[in-house]
Amino acid sequence: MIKITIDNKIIAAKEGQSVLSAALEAGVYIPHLCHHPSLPDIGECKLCIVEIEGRDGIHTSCTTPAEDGMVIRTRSERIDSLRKLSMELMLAGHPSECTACPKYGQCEFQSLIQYIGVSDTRLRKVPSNNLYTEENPLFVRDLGRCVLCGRCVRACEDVRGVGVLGFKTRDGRTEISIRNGGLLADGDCRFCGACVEVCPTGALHDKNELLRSYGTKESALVPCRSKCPAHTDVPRYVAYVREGDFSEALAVIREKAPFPHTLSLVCMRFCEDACRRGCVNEAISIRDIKRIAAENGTDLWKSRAKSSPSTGRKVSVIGSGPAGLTAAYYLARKGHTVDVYEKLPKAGGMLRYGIPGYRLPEEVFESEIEDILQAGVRLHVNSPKTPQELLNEGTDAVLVAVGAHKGIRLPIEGNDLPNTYTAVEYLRNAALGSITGLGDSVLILGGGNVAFDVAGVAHRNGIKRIMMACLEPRDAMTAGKEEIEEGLGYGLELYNGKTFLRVVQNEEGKLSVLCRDVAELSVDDSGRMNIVPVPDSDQWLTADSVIFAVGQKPELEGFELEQNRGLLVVNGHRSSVEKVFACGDSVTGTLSIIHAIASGREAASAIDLSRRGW
Amino acid sequence: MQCNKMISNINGIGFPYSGERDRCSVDYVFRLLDQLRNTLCGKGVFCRDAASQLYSIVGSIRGGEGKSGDVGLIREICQASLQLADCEMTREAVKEILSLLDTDGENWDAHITRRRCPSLSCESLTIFYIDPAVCDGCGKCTDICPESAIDGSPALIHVIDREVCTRCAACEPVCPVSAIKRADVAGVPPKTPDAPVPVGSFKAEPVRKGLRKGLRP
Repeated sequence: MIKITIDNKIIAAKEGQSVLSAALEAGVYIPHLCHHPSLPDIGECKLCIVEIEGRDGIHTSCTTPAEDGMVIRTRSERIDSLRKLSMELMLAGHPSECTACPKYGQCEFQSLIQYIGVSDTRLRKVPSNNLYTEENPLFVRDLGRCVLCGRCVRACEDVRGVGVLGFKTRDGRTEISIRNGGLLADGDCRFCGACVEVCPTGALHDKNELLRSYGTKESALVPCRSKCPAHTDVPRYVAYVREGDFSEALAVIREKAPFPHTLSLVCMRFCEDACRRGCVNEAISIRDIKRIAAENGTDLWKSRAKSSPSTGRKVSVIGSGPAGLTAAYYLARKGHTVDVYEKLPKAGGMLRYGIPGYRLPEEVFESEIEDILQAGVRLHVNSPKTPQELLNEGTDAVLVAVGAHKGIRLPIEGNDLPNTYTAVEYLRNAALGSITGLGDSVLILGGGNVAFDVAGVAHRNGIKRIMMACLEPRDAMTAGKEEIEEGLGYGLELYNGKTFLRVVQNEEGKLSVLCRDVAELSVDDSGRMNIVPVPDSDQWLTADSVIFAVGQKPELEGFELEQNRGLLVVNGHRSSVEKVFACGDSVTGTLSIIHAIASGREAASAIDLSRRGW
Repeated sequence: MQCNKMISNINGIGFPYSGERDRCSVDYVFRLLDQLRNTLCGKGVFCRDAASQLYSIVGSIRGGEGKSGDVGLIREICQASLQLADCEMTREAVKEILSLLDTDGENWDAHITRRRCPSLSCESLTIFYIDPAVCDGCGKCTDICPESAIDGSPALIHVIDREVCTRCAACEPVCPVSAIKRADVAGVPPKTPDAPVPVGSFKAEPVRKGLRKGLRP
């Protein structure tokens, strides 16, 4: 172990470590700017200068290797004046005001100005390159704020091995230039962001509009993870897949969600919508990468999953959909005895009864449910239960995860005529194998993913003419783009911007829906929809049957829990009744599988944390 | 990082300073610094920022806008660069500047305190005029002047409008009879015609020194 003395303090240094790194590690601050812990040192800013006993002159501590017995001074009259002059020289070409800078308060140069105590009054202001451009994706380049420390150049060249950036002197001014001039893309930039990460000033910064909607900088820089409802560590598993380590990747996904294979087929991919790469060219195919991990990974995750010793507590979960089973899995891992009660004959909830088998094959989610049961979860099918019954039976906590299985019919005349169905009814019957006769043509009212699932199933069941009508214009439909394109691909007739007035049956038994064009659609503060119709735009759409795919709500008869607009009211997953928790669609309304999974995991955490009060 | 630029990388200016060739040490240092800042690699503070700062200070001295502390400031920056610059080129250049401040201090003092360039090298501190006794009215200076500051027609004595002239010195080398001359900006202005007159017709009145302000002899 090397020992060096800095300002009368003896500190330890590692072999080959620079004096500056050793000092910083030991908590001795030496001012520095061009040094960055992830980059090779070049000793160009001259702020880290020190005097070394027995050696002439002044030395940059970042480029001086620590040697045993070195005696170092970081302050002296000579050092102080040189350090100050170096700052003044850099400041002469830098804007004087800090307050307008986006890096204000996080700028290393600003901190150094204050720490060393310099102003720009003694020297001449030197004109600098004022190139400011937002033309590149992701980053803003503001060369007027550049102090030419060269960190970005080293990050690009030495760390990433790309070498897009370099020093260039023209017209007597030095600037950081892009290979081939022009924009970053022209210089073959990979947009890794390393240069932005190491920039000490506001010269390189992330575009504000990319940061604005996120709470913290980190969440903005890893939007795939922060926009995933379950906060799956996307970059980590994508990196594992890249290295071909599918099992590690799968273990990463399973940290947050016990349905990786299911998600890899039907997740709504909030991660891909947020992917920063989308600003450069197109989003990373995260869901497909997940599928590679899910289909090729081994059971390594089982040895990675932590299991706590038994708590002796009993938790009952009502509902075996993604939310309920996720909660059950993590509760079992935490050492609780978990019983899951399912009203229907088989477990899976909407995975089984809502999502058509052509999108999500049964064996995929069944094997993942099997994994959950293997973790010690007991499943009771054909067992409708209410929270009160379970509490009376002696369970310590109840989790309500019943989902939203009751299809809504629009409150219009004729909504209960024969051959009218809700999407839930239709999809469930299709899953149970009891095909509902729709006739030769069907009209689906609604434009979400569920509506397209209905259309897809109807198409696969040989219905000749499939029509879909919804309130929203085409570009505001809630269904995924792919779903819409797939539908149009097999001949779906899509009617956008319609409101519905009544359903009537004609003599042949056909159903006709009276529609009216929508001129304007808005939602007020209370969530109520305001529809302004186009005058005299009434028209009829006629089909053999009509399916309402306009939303679902939970079935909560006999639960005696506080509700608001048909949804359970919770506070941190606690319902209005003690020891009764709730999660998933029954709380949030119909969202997505990944939302349900995230909600289940959070509820499991809330239940686990509450056990002190049991 | 050590940069291996040598003072021989600087070309376009003779090095070192030679009084005969370069005449004014301020102007020479200004041109030396211009070469330096365009030649250096741009990585180190005491090369890059020192050179542009010195260029800026010397530039203002050369333009008659020097301040009393400037020589001290130049010395401080040069001495720091001598210790901390990474290349031999910068170190040799600042060594040269330091030595010129010592050996030619009077010249620097004339520029800063009296706003004069004794050798009439620094254009901003001089007046350009066309000697009416020499001009043959060829018109070459009119053609080359980028500011159209020279008035005249063939066979007329040409006249420089001092308000418009930017002292770029472009006309100097093109005059075949060397009629374009410099005068000290702080001295007595040379007598020239107010507007072009035929060659040979202008007679300069003798200047009566000291009486221009209406003082009696």
